[in-house]
Amino acid sequence: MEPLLEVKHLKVHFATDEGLIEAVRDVSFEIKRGETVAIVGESGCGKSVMARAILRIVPSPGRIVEGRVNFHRGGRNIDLTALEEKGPEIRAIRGADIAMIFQEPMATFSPVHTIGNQINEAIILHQGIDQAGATAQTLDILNRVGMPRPSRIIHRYPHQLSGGMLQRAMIAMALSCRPQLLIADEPTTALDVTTQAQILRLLFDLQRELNMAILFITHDLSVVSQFADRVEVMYLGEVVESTDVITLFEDPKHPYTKALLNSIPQTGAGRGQRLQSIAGAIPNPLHRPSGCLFHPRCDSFQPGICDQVSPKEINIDSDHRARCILYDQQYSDKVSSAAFDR
Amino acid sequence: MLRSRPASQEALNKADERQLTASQWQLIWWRFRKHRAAMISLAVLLLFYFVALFAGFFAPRDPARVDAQFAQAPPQPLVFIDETGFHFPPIVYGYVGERDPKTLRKFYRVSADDRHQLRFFVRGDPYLILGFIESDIHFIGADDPDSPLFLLGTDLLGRDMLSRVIYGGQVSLTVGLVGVFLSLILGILLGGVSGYYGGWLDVAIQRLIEVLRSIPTIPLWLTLSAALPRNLTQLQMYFGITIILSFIGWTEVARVVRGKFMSLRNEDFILAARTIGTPRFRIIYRHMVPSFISHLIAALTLALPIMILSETALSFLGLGLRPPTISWGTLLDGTQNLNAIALTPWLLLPVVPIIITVLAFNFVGDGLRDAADPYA
Amino acid sequence: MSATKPLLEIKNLKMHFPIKRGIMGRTVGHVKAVDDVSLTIGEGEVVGLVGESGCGKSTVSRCIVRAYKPTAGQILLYDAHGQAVDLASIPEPDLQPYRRDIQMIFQDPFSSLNPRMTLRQIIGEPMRNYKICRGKELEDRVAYLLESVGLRPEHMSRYPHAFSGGQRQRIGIARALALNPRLIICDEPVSALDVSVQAQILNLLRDLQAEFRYSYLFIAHDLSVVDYICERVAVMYVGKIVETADTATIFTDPHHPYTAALRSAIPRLNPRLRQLPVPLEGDVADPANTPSGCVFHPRCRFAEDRCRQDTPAMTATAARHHARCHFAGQLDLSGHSQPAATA
Repeated sequence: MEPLLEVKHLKVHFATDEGLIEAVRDVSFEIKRGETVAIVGESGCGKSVMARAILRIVPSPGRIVEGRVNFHRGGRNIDLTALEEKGPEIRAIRGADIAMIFQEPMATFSPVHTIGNQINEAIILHQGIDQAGATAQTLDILNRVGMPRPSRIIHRYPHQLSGGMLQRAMIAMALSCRPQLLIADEPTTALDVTTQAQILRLLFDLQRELNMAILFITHDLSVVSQFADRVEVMYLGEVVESTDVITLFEDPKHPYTKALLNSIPQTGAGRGQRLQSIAGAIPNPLHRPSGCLFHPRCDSFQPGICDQVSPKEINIDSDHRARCILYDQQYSDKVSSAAFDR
Repeated sequence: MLRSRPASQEALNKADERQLTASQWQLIWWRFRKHRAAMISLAVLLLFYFVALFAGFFAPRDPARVDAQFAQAPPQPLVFIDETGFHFPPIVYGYVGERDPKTLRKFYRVSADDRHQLRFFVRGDPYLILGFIESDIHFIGADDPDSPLFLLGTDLLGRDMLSRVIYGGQVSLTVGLVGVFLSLILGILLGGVSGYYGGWLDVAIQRLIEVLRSIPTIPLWLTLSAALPRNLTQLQMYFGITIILSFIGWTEVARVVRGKFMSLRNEDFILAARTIGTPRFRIIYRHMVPSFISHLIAALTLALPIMILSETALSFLGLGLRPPTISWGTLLDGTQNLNAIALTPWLLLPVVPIIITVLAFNFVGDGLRDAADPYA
Repeated sequence: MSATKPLLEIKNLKMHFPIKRGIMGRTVGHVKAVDDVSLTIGEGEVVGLVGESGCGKSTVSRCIVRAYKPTAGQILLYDAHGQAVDLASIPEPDLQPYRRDIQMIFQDPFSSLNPRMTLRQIIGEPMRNYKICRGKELEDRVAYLLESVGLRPEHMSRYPHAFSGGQRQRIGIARALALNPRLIICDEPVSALDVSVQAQILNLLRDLQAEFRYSYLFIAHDLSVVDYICERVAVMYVGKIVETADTATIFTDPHHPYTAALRSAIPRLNPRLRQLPVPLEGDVADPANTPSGCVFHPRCRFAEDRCRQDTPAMTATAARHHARCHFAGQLDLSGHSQPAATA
């Protein structure tokens, strides 16, 4: 199946006063039509910057320095990185073909216009239909995201809605033009568990209905396990492991993924079992470790290799890649077997 | 996302240790240093204050010395090169008195026929260093203390404008500082009481502030300075003016302080201080005040130029300081009629240090404001 | 697990914040942030308090440390001889000797440390306040505390900005330990941290508890974290505790529909067990305008007329298990989640 979006060797740098931050360094992956790809990582891993780079909305002083983002639309292949940042082409794609929802719905809506007006405006802008037609569509989409009494909600201002409702309204606005790709940046992080369940279920149902692909950005592995088809695990700007969701949870290869999975408490696991923690903290992006970025915290650290060479992406099988020298033939004789047991 | 996050301790070297143990004020200073315009302005201000502090040394003459013979003389240019060659220290040309054939008014012209060699560290009019050490050494002057040396010209009575501007700086540069300092003390006290205790005291102070702020400033100042007794000494008058200037200034400080107190009361680290049994007064001076004092200082630096301009305005109107006190405002007093400006435009020169000072304070204030919160 | 001596007993605690309107500051209503909460924490016991945002769990903790003066109710702190003092009613200045028994660990490791103080000052301050030690002795004690939370003593001249979120949380823990308290209130201590750091802090808190037998009141919205660290759990909903039970039973056999819903809303960490249930429709009730009867009835699928009219009382449903529901123990809550959506 032809991919919908291909990200190839994407690099995004931030030139700050303190120095150069390589927020995204050499990230490649693809999303097929109707598929859900999750980007998982902790703070500072570059997942949000990467998502914004796709839509060309990287905040200043960030800049895409290398790479391509190929978007396949109606048999045509558009390199989004080649488009002018504020030009008409990318604006036509943003919101219509690729939509984005954020962690903070308040930031998406203007506080001085009603919800209805703002969704109407998006529909009119991208579809070029009249006010009455737009209002009908707005009501329809609000209904579809499970908003109670849409005809009243359209006259409300953003601050009059609860967090969960506002999240629904933002999803409605994002989906109003039936995008082929929805980028969801931590859409449930600010919500309570019961509301999170509502929103996840909603996204799941809408995806089936509209056959749209979702790029789901999150730090929460349990949400990933319930929602994603494929997973890209990011650490300090690099994808360290990439595979389908079942393999990731049942047979993770990269020591970071393994450690992360072991460090999450689970209900029912009981109090007897001690959590395995990962040593240290995420390094400052200005002071990146040499060699493998994870080596200072890694249980399988191989002195003389990991702190010196940047690991290549290794194909474990056709659909599973990990950026770790443990799986690199080149070093197979130098790695102690004990490293794999951890 | 990109909230700066300290590195793992292993990755840090010795140079970073300095950063990690740096106090608030060090961090502010390091940030401030990056602000070029502010750094240059700070240097200019320091120079101004240094010159004002040692006014007697930098002023070529006694500012009160009257040379009727050279009344309303124009500025003399410093000459480094002329047909006789290169001069260092430079020379100045003397004056020739002439009379306008129509108005019969006497005026002076700089003439190259009369040369005076200047020297550094020459003996001249006696003065007191810092008010108590007698000296007669001047930074620059002619060999003969009685020869004319008026680099910025003279006023109606033949007093040296340069010396008067330098002495005027002593008053004008400090009147704002003292005013701001008084505002700060009053503001923190009243704002702190208002914000910390709340209740009727808060209501009373807030209403007082609103009333004070709703009075137009210039008439208020005029009234207050008119109320100052006429027979005050120069020093008493000076403090009178600073009090008048801080009369409005403290209200702004008090508002900021009150707001900060109210928002800080709900901060986690203040609650933490309470749970570990920190006494109330210690919470205020150890936790609350330090967390907004730098903002306040930045805000007050921006308020300083207003104070300086207000002093100038009051003195210009003859309601602030009065001669023989020398301030930049009183120096401008003499330029109130158009005639004076047309015939003796150099009397307007005290405006130049005022503009430079005000601009410099604004830049420094901007730099401080940007650097004030190193933890943002 | 055994019935230990009580350390802190909260009885019918109420915290109502007035809603003021207009220039005259007229009170037009009350936000019932905490409404009739009773909870007992035994010596050395770890009690969890869970609930969604706005349920009042943090307000309870702030009433215990008297950041707020409660509207009504008692907070009894027992000393070693079983003598109680009511922290809810004694005047602020008299609280000083009791404050050292109850310490707090905060959610946000950035705002809970004064950025203008070094670690030596931050951790030394509680000991200065109670004149426990000074000078060299104080420094030694700070070094010991830093070591016991896994930080290096030689870093005590540094300021908090030199540390990462997880390390700052350790500093906060060291400050809380400085007075050797009997009860530590952990207010969402890991929810602001990165996943890879959470486990470190949870393990540290568990180890400290095992070693020094502190009592914890552990406040969290994340049930799996509570499951990991607590012996007993109280679930709060709109200012009221709706269920209390031992951790082992509350998640396997909940007796209140809300607890059951909360449990099934947690995504499992297993992609083969895919289910995207919607356990609850609607939003959490507004504590300024609470529903009549049972506060949970508008979202409860078992609600009957009685629930809309009568406020249920806390009833014992099993040993050490209480639920605030008219039908506590009678409902079948096991099959609460809807059929799994096939992946």
